[in-house]
Amino acid sequence: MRRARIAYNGAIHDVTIEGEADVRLPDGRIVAEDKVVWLPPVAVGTTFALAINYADHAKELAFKAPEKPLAFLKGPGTFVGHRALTRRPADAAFMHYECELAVVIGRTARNVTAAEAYDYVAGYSVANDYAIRNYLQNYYRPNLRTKNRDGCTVLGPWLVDAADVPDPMTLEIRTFVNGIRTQQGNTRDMVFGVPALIEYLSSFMTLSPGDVILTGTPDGIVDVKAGDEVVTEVVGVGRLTNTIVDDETFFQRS
Amino acid sequence: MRFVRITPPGAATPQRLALKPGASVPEGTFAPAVDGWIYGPLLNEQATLDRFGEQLHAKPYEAPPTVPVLYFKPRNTHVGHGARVRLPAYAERVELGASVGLVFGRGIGRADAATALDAVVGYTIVLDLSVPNASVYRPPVQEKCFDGACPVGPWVVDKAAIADPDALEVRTYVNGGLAQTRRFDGAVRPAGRLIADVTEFMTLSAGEVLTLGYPVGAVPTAGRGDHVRIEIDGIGALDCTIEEGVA
Repeated sequence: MRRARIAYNGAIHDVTIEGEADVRLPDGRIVAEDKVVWLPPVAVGTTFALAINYADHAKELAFKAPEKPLAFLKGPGTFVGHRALTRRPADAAFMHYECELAVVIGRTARNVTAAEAYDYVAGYSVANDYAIRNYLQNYYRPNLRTKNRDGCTVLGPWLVDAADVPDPMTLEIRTFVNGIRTQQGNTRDMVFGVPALIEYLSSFMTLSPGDVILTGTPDGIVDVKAGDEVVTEVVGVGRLTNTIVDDETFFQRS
Repeated sequence: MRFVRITPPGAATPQRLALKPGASVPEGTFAPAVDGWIYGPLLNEQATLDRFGEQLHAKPYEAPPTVPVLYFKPRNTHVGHGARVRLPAYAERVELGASVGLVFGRGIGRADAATALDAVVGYTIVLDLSVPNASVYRPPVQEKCFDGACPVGPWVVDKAAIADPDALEVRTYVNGGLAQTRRFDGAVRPAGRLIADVTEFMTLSAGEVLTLGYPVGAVPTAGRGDHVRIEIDGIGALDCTIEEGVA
């Protein structure tokens, strides 16, 4: 089952998805995808993101793949849902998407082994974890100004139940900018796979339902400009749409 | 007025209570004084920048920071006054990163430094327990995010109780002995400027906390069996004990 959170007709609803992307409200109403406001599909708890967790991306960024997972955290204010607008500040010189498989924790997890890790997953979603590279500074890198900006982490459109994703480690990943494919990879190429990440994080902290792990992005990042439509897709999970806007549009100055 | 979160005996969840001056705290255990996210700044003291000195220009840092560097203390780290905290097995000591926490009463984004404190509803004590790490290059997730690594409390005092958060003094006691006294007057970014520079890129929400930071690498440490007390005049005293066992 696919589950989402949307706003429609003056209220927020927990919904399920039918067919391509039809939204089914709890009372049975069916609403078209473009008639609702999509929110992140879960009320996100503690969120981890993985840096350079694909060998090819490490090479692209001239880094050696890490010996243990290189995780950083994200706060709640950075998240937006499917079809949101994301701002590219005027002084951004290189702003790129990162298409990632998002893992949502479903049960309290502490000292979980990789072998039992999947028992703790509620489901999967798609993330677009934007970065503005010229905002990077070398303290607690990647710093929050680069990676925890308002509206710069897109999550959705929905959560796919774990039972409906038989093998999360063989999923195609791809990104389209204005319809042209710019990124392609496969979750099998992660340096640390989903079970290893859950084992690592739960070895020193308790994970709770609603905590999210963004598992990193493969090769193929390009600069995106105001007006670009960016579709990040994990095949079998979902296609997540976002549009880049400039300051004038975002702040409604024009 | 103080706002305390207390879990009464036998109850599963804390209650939030407003205590009038002089009122005693009802029976129960202290829950974390806040239930929102806690953020702290790194290198927010001129003395810390001076101590790093030439290192800030060498690899891997290459240049001093020009914007606030922040870290998180996520929800699994939040514990209340009087908590017992277990260190990770690999750690012998933790830094006692005591600071004042600015508690927000409403959402605030793109704040002006002169008016930023208008969004603060009160103050609390935040004790950032961190496994020491000489490097500040990578986010210290393992060092700062172990369960119980952020005692916060004992309560939130109403904003009116503190005339100027930048003029506060923090005292750290280990096993009853005064280990450090520290003031915030040498801050790179005093409270209002810090809120403005942080909210330039991330909105803070009601219930969230931003600390004024602490001098990383230059605070007292504690080990298993130690009792720690943090005092800030006008707010109160926050206690915790480092347990003998491992997490």
